[in-house]
Amino acid sequence: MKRISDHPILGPLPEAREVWITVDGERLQAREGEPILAALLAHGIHVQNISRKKKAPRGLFCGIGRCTGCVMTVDGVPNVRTCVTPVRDGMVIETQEGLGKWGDRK
Amino acid sequence: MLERDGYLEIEEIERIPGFPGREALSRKKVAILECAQEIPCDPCEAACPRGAITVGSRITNLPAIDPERCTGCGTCVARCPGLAIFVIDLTKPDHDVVTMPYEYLPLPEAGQEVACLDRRGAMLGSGRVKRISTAKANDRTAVVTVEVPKGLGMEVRAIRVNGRVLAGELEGVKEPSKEGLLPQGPEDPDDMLICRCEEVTRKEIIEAIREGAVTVDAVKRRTRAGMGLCQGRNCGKTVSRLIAEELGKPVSSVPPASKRPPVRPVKLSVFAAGEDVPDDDK
Repeated sequence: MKRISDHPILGPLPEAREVWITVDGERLQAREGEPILAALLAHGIHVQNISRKKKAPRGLFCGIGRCTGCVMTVDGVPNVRTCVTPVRDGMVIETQEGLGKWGDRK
Repeated sequence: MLERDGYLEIEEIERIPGFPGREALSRKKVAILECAQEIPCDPCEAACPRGAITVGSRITNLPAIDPERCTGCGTCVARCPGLAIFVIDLTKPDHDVVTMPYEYLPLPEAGQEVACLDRRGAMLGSGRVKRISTAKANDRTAVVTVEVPKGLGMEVRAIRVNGRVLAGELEGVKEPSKEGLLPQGPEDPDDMLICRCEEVTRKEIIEAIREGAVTVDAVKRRTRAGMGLCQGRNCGKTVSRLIAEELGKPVSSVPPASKRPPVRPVKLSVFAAGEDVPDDDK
């Protein structure tokens, strides 16, 4: 797990409930309320989707919800910007192919 | 020049209301507000216990300093989010004194010798830390008072502390490990992606411009640049610049893409207003 636990300016990592998310079928621990992308990066997952035309790996670019580089399919909803979407317990997250497909919603 | 180089020249500073004036500087310790861009920001006004800083009713006004009210206490230094406030004392016979915000690690200690840098970051000489404050009210911005060589009080605006290592100077990391990294960008700038969503390269955009697509909208219709998920938020400006470069005209003369609501992405299902819409999309 790669996390900054004691940031020199922002201070220590605040308390958060540990929850479980499922990423491409694998159960991973995450901190409730953190951006989905932060949880994925902490687990070393850098590829969020595969681009539509060139089939190239894509991931974090702007980190502020503007560029849509990090979109994934979350609980069956495609094109969710993971950098600005908070983690909830039990989320099912999938690496997206192109523009993705609507899946089964909870 | 600030807009061209990213730092202020002394002539620009002398024209802004945050400059206390040569006369005041010659006889007292006083704050200087090197704030030259009209942004909506005013914590400095409330920071001054003597009311020496005025922004006024328009929050985009540049802050003005009243050198008569200013006691040089330095309370304002750590309160400027832009790190643009300094306290200058040019009255000492053998050195000048500059009080500045410092947000790097490691922090210097009182008495420590540090390198003095100007607004560009160029090295001017060495100075000595007279005092460092990490008071809680400063919210983790250290305020460092440095004795600098006489005559450099209006030049020194930063220090470099021994032991602070810049990434480029670390031994052995000049070539970072490629292991675990994704493929790097293309060697040929023509293959650079300008529109990341629709994966349109620089070459495709230049070709479109040469074929007569000389507005952002025209390039968009021809290449799809700007029609992807982000709706041109990222590539719009780059496309304008490429058009301007190709035509040899200023960027301001290139018509921007038509802006249409919604401002942020909204799924059509939200407009269709089904009961079915997930919470995140509402």
